[in-house]
Amino acid sequence: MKTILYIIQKEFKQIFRNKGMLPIIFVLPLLQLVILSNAATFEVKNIKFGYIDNDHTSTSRALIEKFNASTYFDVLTDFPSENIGSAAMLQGEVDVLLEIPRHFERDLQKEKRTNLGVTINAIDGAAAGVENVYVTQIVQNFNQHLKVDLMQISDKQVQPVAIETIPLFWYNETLNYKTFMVPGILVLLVTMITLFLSGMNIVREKEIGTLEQINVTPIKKSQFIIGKLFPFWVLGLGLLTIGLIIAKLIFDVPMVGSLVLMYFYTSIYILVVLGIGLFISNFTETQQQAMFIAWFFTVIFILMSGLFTPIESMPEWAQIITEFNPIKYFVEVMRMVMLKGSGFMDILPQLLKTLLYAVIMNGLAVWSYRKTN
Amino acid sequence: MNKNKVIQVEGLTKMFGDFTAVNAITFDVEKGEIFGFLGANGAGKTTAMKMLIGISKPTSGNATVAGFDVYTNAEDIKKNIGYMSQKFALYDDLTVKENITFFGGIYGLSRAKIKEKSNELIEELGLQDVANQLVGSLPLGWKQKISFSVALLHDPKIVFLDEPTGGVDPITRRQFWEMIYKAANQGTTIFVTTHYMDEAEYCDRVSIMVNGKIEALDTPKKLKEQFKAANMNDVFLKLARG
Amino acid sequence: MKRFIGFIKKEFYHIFRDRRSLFILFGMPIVQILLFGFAITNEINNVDIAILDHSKDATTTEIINKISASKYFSIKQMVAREADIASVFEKGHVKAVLNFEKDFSQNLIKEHKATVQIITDATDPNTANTISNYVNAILQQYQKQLNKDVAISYQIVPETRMVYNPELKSVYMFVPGVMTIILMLVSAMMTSISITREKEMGTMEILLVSPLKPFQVIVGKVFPYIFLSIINAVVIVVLSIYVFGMPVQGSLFLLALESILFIISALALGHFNFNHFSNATNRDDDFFNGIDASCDIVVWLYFPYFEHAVTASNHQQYHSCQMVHYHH
Repeated sequence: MKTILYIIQKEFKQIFRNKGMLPIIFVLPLLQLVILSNAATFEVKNIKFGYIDNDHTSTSRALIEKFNASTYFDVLTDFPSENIGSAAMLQGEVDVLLEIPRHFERDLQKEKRTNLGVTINAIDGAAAGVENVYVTQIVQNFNQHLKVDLMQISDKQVQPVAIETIPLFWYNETLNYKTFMVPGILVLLVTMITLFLSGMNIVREKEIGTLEQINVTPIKKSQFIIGKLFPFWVLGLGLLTIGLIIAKLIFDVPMVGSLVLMYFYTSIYILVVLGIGLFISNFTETQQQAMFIAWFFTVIFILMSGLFTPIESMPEWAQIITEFNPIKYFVEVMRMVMLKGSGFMDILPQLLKTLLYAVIMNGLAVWSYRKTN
Repeated sequence: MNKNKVIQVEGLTKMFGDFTAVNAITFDVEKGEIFGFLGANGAGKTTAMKMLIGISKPTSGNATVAGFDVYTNAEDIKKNIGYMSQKFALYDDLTVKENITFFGGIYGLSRAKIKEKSNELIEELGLQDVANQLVGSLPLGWKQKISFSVALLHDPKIVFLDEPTGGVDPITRRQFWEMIYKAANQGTTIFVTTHYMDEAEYCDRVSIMVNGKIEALDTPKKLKEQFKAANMNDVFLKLARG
Repeated sequence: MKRFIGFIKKEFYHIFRDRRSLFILFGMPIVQILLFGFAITNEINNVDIAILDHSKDATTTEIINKISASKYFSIKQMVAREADIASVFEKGHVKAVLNFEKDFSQNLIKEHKATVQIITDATDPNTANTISNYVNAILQQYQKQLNKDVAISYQIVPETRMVYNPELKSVYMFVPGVMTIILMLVSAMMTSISITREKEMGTMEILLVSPLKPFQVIVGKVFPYIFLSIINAVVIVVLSIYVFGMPVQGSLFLLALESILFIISALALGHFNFNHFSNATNRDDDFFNGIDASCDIVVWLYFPYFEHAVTASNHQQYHSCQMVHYHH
C-alpha cells in the first residue's frame, strides 16, 4: 500500500509539472465543448432559400411571404429564371429553390389544384430530408388557409373530420440541440483525454528507459499498475467536473438527474478506459504507435456510439457491434441521467455491462503487462 | 552452495529466434568483488546482465543471484540488487530529492530511512545546491553519480552497472570509480560492464565476451600475462580479432 | 539530384518499416468509409415507440396498425397510465409515446375532431422532431382516407426534386469529410512526427551539415507523405465510386488538383507545428523533450475533434471540392 502511494505521488508531480498538461486539463474541455457543440450540430436552420416566381400574383406572393416568415428559411433571392436559380445552387448559394409556375393562381382557382416545383440540394441527405419536411409543412399550412377561405364562400358541404395531433417534446421543449450534444461531448472529453494520456504514459516510460529501472525493483505488478492508473482516474473525474461546470455555466444544460449517480457511473467507466489504455501501451513501443492505435479505436468507437447519429438507424449487424462499445453506454447514461433524471435502476443494465467491461479490460491489461520478457 | 559466491552462472543461454545472443556462459562472482564484464558492442553483455537481474528469461542454463534462481525467484533477486542502466533512467522531470524518495519508496524503505539516506547521499555527492532542481537540468556526469547512488539506496548485496561511464569526461570517470571502490569496500559486490579498457584494470577480475561467449576470465594481471600484453587494451584486441 | 533521391528513399524506408502505423494509415480511411456507407445514417428506421390508448376502439386500433406497418416505427410496448410515461422514457427503451384521448372514434364522429398527443423524448431533438413529423404524416394520410367523400379544394402539391443525391445517401456527404481528415492526418501529423523524431535522434543535424540544400531536405521529407496522401485519396474515391456508387459528375482532374493543394497546405501546417513547438523549447536539453511530447499530445488530441466537426457539419475547406464532385 505504501509503495502505491509513492508511485501516485510521483505521477501527480509529473502530471502537474508538465506544462502541456494545463491546457489539456483546462483549455481543451472548454474549446472542445464550445467548438464541437456548435459545429457538430445537425440542426437545420437558416436554410438558404431562393425562389422563381413565374406568376407574380397575390397568391404567389402570399406563399413566398409564408417562407419569409418562417424562422427556418433565410429568403435570399428572387431569381428571374430557372437557369439562374440552378446556377446559384451549383455554386452553393442556395439550398432550396422554389419554382412557382405560371398561371399558379388561375389554376388554383379554376382547377383547385396546382403544382409547385421544389428543388433541394441533397448532398447532405439528412439535411435535405428535414428541409423537405419544412417546405411541406409550410405548403400544407398554406393549403389549410385556402380551405378555410373556401369554406366561407362556397356551399357548406359535409364537414371533414380532423385528427388533431399535439406534439409534445419532453425533456427539451425548445428542441435545443446543444442540450443533446453537450453531455455527449463531455463523454468524448473524458474518454479521449484519459485514454490518450494513460496509454501514452507507460509507453513513455518505456521510451525513456525508466520502465526498465522499475522492472528491476521488487515492486509488484499490481502495485505499479494501480499507482500508475489512479492519478489518471482522478484526472478523468476532474475533467468530468470541469466539463459539467462549463456545461452548466456556458450552455445552461439542464441537470435533472443525480450528480452522485453520474460520478458513480463515470468512476467505473474510467476504469474501462484506463484498462484499454494500459492494454495498448503493453503492445506498443513508441508513443506515436500508442497514439495511432488509440486514435484508430476511439474514432470507430465514437462513430458507433450514437453520439452523432442514432443507433436505432444502424443496420442490425452494426447494432450488435455497438453492444461491445463502452462509449455507447457512457453516452446513453450521461444523457439519461443528465437530461431525463433516470435513476439507478434505469441505468443498471448499462452499469453492469460497463463493470463487466472494466473487469475484463483490466484483467487483460494486468495479464499482458510483463516485468520479465 | 558456496556462501561466498553471490552470482553463479552455468551454461546460461539466450536466443532471439535463430540468433544466439548469449551462448552458454559460465562464471561465478564472489562477495565483495568488482567483477568487470567486458566485451565489444553487441557481444551480448547487456543481454546477459538482463537475465541476471530478472527482466529477461534465459532460454537455457542455470543461474543464481544472491542465492535465488533466475527462473523461479526473479522477484527475490530484485530485492537484493541494484541496477543502473546504460540509458540514464531517473525521472528528468523530478528533482534530485524526489527521485531518491520515489525509488526509496518503491524499494520499501521507511520514510525516516529515506530521509536519512537522501541527506547522506546529497552531502556525499555535494549536491546541496541542486537537491531541489529537476534532474533533467543537471550535467550528465552528475546524473550518472546520482543514478549510482540511487541504485545503492536500499543497500543491495550486488549492484549491476551497465556501461556506467559512457559519455562522461575522464575526471568524472575517475570520481565514479572512487564511488565504486567505496561501495565495494563496504561489502557490496559490483558487476560492471564497460568497454573502456583502462577501467578494466580497476576490476578484481574481468571476463571478456566475444560473440556471445566468454573467451577469457581472470584477474587483469593474469590476463596480461596469459596474452603477453602490456595492458588490457591489447588483451582485448587480441581476443576480439581472434 | 542523386543524393536527393537517396534521401527520399530513406524516408520511404522509415515509413514502410513501421508497419503498425502504416496499417492504421491505410486501414483507417477504408474502415471509416465503410462505416459511413453501411452503418451510420441519420435516417429514422424502426424507432421503438409505445402506445397509451385510452379508447381502444376501432379507429385507434386501425391507426396503431398503420403505424406499426410503417417501416419507421415498431411498437415496443403499451402503456397503461399517463404516470407511466416518464418511467418508460427514463429507462430509455422508447423514443415516443402516442397518447390517444378517450372516446377517440366517438369524438371523431360527433365532433368531427379527435386528439392524439405525440410525446417524444426530445433529448435528441432532431430524432424527436422527425418522429413527430412522420407520425403526423401517417395520421394525415389516414385522415385523407376518412375524408375521401368530402371534396377538398384548393390544393398546392409540391413536387420535390432532390438534386445531386436523389437517394439521400449520407455516405456521399461523408466522403469529402473523411478525405479531408485522412489527408490532414497523413500530411500534417506524419511530417511533424517524422521531423521531431529526426531532431530528437540528432540525425537532423547530420542532414543539415550534409551538402543537401535546406530546401532539398524539406522537399525530401515532404515528398513521401504527398505520395502516401495521394494514394489514400485515390483509395477513398475509388471505394466511394465502386462500393457506394457515388456519382462523380465533376472533373476528376479538378478534384485531384484541389486535393494536392490541400495536401500541400496541410503539410505546411505540419511543418509549422513542428517549428512552433521546437522553437519554443531548447532541443539540446533532454529535459524539454517531455514538455515537447506533451505539445504533440495537444496537437494529436485535436485531430479526432476536427474530424467530427468536419464530418458532422459541412467543412468549408472542402466545400468547393464537394461542388466539383457533384455538380457540372
